[in-house]
Amino acid sequence: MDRPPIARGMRPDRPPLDDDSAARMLQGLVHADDAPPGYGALAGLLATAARPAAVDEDAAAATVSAMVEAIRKGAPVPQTSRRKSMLTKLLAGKALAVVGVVALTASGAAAATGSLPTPVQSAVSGAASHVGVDLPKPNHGNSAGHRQDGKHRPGGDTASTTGGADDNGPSSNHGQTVSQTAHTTPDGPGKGAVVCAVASGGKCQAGADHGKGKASGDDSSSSTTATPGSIQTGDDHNDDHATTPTTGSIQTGGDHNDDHATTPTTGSVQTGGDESGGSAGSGKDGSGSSGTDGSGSQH
Amino acid sequence: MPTPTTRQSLGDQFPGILTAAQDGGEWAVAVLYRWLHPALIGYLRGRVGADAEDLASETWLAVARRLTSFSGDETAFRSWVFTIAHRRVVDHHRATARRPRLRSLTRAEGDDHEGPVEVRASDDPAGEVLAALAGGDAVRRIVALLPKEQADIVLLRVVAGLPVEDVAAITGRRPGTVGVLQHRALRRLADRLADAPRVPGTTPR
Repeated sequence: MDRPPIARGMRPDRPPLDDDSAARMLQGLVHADDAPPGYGALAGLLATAARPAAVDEDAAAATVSAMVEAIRKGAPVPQTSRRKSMLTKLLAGKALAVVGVVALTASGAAAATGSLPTPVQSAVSGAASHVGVDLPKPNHGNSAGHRQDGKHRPGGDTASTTGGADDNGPSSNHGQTVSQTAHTTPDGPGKGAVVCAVASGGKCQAGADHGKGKASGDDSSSSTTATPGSIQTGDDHNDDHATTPTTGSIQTGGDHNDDHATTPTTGSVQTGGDESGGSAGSGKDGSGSSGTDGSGSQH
Repeated sequence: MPTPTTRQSLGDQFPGILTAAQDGGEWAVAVLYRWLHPALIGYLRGRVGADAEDLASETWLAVARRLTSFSGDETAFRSWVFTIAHRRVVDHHRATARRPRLRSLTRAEGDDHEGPVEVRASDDPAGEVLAALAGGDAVRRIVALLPKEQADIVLLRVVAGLPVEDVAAITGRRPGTVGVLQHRALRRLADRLADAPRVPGTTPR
């Protein structure tokens, strides 16, 4: 045997066991008579141990039936199902978080732009004001939807109407009153002042310089347009567009809040002719509604 | 279909049998069971003694639950089944280690095996081995004479019929380490069985 001994410290009368013999004995393939000298008992022991054990037939039938049932049921491995459950929960949590963030963002944006419904906007604005956040109030925003309560006037050389809620409260009839005043008042130098007075509830100081701009019903050259967002023009503008920016608001400078300095829109006054009422308008061309604070417009 | 014995190879029939078993074919499941159960129960009897039947049932049910996900040849299947069985044995020993139990006072010299198998130490172990006709007795004799880790390796090699690489994978050792341990085990066994008379009726397969 050329192979080196693999077991040292063995008894002097027993030669070392080579790898091949060891492997064969471990497989139970070596008969005791065929084993190397001194390893007969070991070979017999291993060969006997390698014999098949007896099988209990009753236990075998029961176990096989249980195995078949388990296979057919497709019983999931507990670990696998647990992992799926965890994954599902994780994804559901993330989805809810995303939905929540989107909802909060959209609500915040709507509140910031004053796009919420009036009661909601009012509530949100009031609540936000307590924490120092300035959100537009329902009637202060530039949203047309919150301010439009007039009727559209098709035709004529004016645009449209805008009435609107006043700062002083609901004014569903105020614009109409002003409009009627504008229509019924004869043209003349004092028409603007009259309309202004009606529109402002007697606070109008037509022609006075409030330092905020030109505001004179007589001054036909001072055409200012300062009613952003609150004007809805009609669909048949004239080419001269004289009335487009008008409407506006007859403003009595001192009565308005500072934050509305650039949007003096109270009580719309509409220029243009042949309106049929319902809206504030100044009537005829050139009559020009006037307003202080530069909100009036003229041709 | 003839019932295969422990070391009998299913050969080319294995893929078809496996597929049929994965589809729930009872005959195929029975073939796989009868093919490996003798080796499995022999291994488990050597490791856990009287609890071998229970652990064998648990092992087979675990095999059934995961059978549809298995892919491989019959060698891989055999290794897979014994991997599951080995883990059951480890869990069983952990559980029993937490329970108080009686220790045998007649432990053989040099036997540091702490399993539940109790084998009488004898002044003539070789004679006992040669007198034993059942494979279970030989297994118990091996377990009684070897340290735990060596007995585990010998049983996986001899009873389960696994190659060194698979035994290394199951026990978490390197193949070289398994080779060293098995040779030490053989030397220890040979020392214990030295000078034992041969029994004419003992014939290897």
